[in-house]
Amino acid sequence: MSQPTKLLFWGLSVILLIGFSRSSQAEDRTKARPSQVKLTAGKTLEDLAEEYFNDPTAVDEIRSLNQLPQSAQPKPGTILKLPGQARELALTALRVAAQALEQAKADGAEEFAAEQLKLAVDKLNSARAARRGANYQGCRQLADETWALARRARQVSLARRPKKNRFAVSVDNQGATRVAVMEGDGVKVTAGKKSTTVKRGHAVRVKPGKEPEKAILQLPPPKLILPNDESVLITASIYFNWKSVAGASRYVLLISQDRHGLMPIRQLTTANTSYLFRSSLPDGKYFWFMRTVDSQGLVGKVSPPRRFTLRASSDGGLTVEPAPPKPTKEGK
Amino acid sequence: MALRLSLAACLVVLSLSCTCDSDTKKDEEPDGAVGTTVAVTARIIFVEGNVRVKRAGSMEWLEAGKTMELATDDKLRTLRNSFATIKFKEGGLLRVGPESLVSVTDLRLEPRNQVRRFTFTLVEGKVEAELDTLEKAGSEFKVRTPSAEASVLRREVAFQ
Repeated sequence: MSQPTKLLFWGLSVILLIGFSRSSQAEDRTKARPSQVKLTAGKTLEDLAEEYFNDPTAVDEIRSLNQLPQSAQPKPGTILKLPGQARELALTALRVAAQALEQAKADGAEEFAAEQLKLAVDKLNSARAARRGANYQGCRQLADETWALARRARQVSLARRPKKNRFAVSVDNQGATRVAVMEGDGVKVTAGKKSTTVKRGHAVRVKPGKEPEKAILQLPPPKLILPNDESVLITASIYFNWKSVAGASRYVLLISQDRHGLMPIRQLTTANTSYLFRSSLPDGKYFWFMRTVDSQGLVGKVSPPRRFTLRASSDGGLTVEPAPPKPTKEGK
Repeated sequence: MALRLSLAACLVVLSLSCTCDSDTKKDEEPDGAVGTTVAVTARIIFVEGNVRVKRAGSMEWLEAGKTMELATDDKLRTLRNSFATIKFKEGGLLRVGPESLVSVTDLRLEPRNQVRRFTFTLVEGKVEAELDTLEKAGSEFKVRTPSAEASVLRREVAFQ
């Protein structure tokens, strides 16, 4: 027998055997769970849900199936129908749909495919409502539609997401590594025998000789206060000020010659929410950005840049607030 | 019971036949069949403060300057309040923060399929990488440190 034929033979045998075994298991379960049950004295619907389904949420379904009003408790001796095999299939479909939604969210759908994601979330809610109403066929159909919508949301998000990867790696003087992912498809961090995936907006720390710790959300950037955007500063001492961020242990201020931070010239670190920078910078246009650093030393997200023009060689010592925007050349 | 035993036997045989199959494949595709790669360079496009470069095999730390090219095994060091930005010809940037030491471990490109393999080793300090999505299968961008390795994940393609 050739190799592919052999494989096909064994594959089919296994599938047949698994199928047979599953169907007999299903029969066992059906036998164990009757299609209807007589409510005995002292038992509630909640008890039945727990006993037969090990799931307190099944109580709504039992009520719906027996056309009982919400929060009604039938009398002892009442014969009650119980959900059958269709329930298991509906639950599986719901689980798969919920997983697809989580995957879409993980791939940025909340940000880049919000509309598509909302459709999927609404559909999932409808599927859950159908389940509560014991409409398992409808639930399955709605869950399948949720899955398709979540997949679509993920595709749209992947297509719209910026085609850039941006991440930072740092090593401190104790040898600990920190990785923060600002944009893109994520970074795999490996240490020892363990790897962890760090997604956009998350950061992770690895201590020397240890495995990566759990990736955590990056802290948001502080809200910038002073100097205002487009300020013209005629003093060499620049007062930077920003709002505090919960969880931040220090703040990093970066001054760059360009708005993308490609030409950084100063990096200032402080635990306070202000910094008086006695500048020795030449006159010119600069951008400043802020980041937070948490107690683990993990760097947070970067703030949008603000621009200032330094004209320290001129007289005075005042900060001139920006003039209303004009189509004229800047600095004039 | 007999049913379970036969199922277990089937699974064992199946796994054995799969193992044999993968061995056969290994024989057919010898290791290293990745095509010819060429070493590429990265260019320093910005320097602020005291930034030094040590060429592969040299002991001397040279003053880094704009347009200076870096190749495999070169090292770059930034001192206090110093920064450098490195640009790759194939797209992408690496910003090196103050008080950092970075070694260029691997810079290769497969011209046939544009697969790139870039690896940097960060001994101390901080780097920030910015690069386009890795769409070519086999492309990799890694930053190694004494305690970990960070590699960019390739964008997954979602099929319709």
